[in-house]
Amino acid sequence: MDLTQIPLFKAMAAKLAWLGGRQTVLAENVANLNTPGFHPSDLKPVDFAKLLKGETSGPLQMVATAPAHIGTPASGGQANLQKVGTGGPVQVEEQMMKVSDTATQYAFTTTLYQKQIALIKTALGH
Amino acid sequence: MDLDTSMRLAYAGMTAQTQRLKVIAENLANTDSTARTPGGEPYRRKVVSFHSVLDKTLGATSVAVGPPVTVPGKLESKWDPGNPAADAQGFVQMPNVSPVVELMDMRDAQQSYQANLNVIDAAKAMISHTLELLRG
Repeated sequence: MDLTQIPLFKAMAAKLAWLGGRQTVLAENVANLNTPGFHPSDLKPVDFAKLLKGETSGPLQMVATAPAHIGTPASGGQANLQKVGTGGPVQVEEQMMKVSDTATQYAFTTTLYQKQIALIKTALGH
Repeated sequence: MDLDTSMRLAYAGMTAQTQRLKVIAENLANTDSTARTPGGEPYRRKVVSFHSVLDKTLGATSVAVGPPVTVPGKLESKWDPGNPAADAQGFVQMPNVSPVVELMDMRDAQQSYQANLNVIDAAKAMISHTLELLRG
């Protein structure tokens, strides 16, 4: 049995990777709190519900936004970590809110992961 | 690993703030440092500048501190004929350090340091949650 073939596990793994990537972007913002001319950024939100429904096959596909885009790689994996500028100066309160939100969501997702594993174990009679 | 990168970035931020605090301490210590020779230049306030740099090993935007820069500007004179730094008229030039400004700067450095520390805490919690997965 390959866990990564189950949409729910696939979505959770993608979510964990996204949250880890977001924490890095937020760390960049906080490290540059006092840097003149620095513009904060954040990761583009990903619709995990869509991912769960299996609307994308395999790892998230890159979007072809122009007719010149050909042969977008099927095994991108990291393509969903898209950095976007949030504009304005870095606000410490806003960044701290985001940092704690990311950590909470991470804890939530790992707990959910554990529960799903426990469910499968029950089904297996362990 | 991503979480390791965020910890390293926060570490860079904390090091930068420590450098800033060092210069602030230097300024405060020299609030009354006049010249050694009559009519000479007293101590002048220093400031550090931050700039963002791309850390190629981390693949992320880190922070770096430039060398301390001396702040130019008009100096205040005090009449103190007994001072060894006094000029012919008995005036001594005083440093352009304002303790209130330095204290404000110090608070700001402290706050930014704390923010970076919070990032490390959050990343640490996330790593321990990942390790918890092993316990099934």
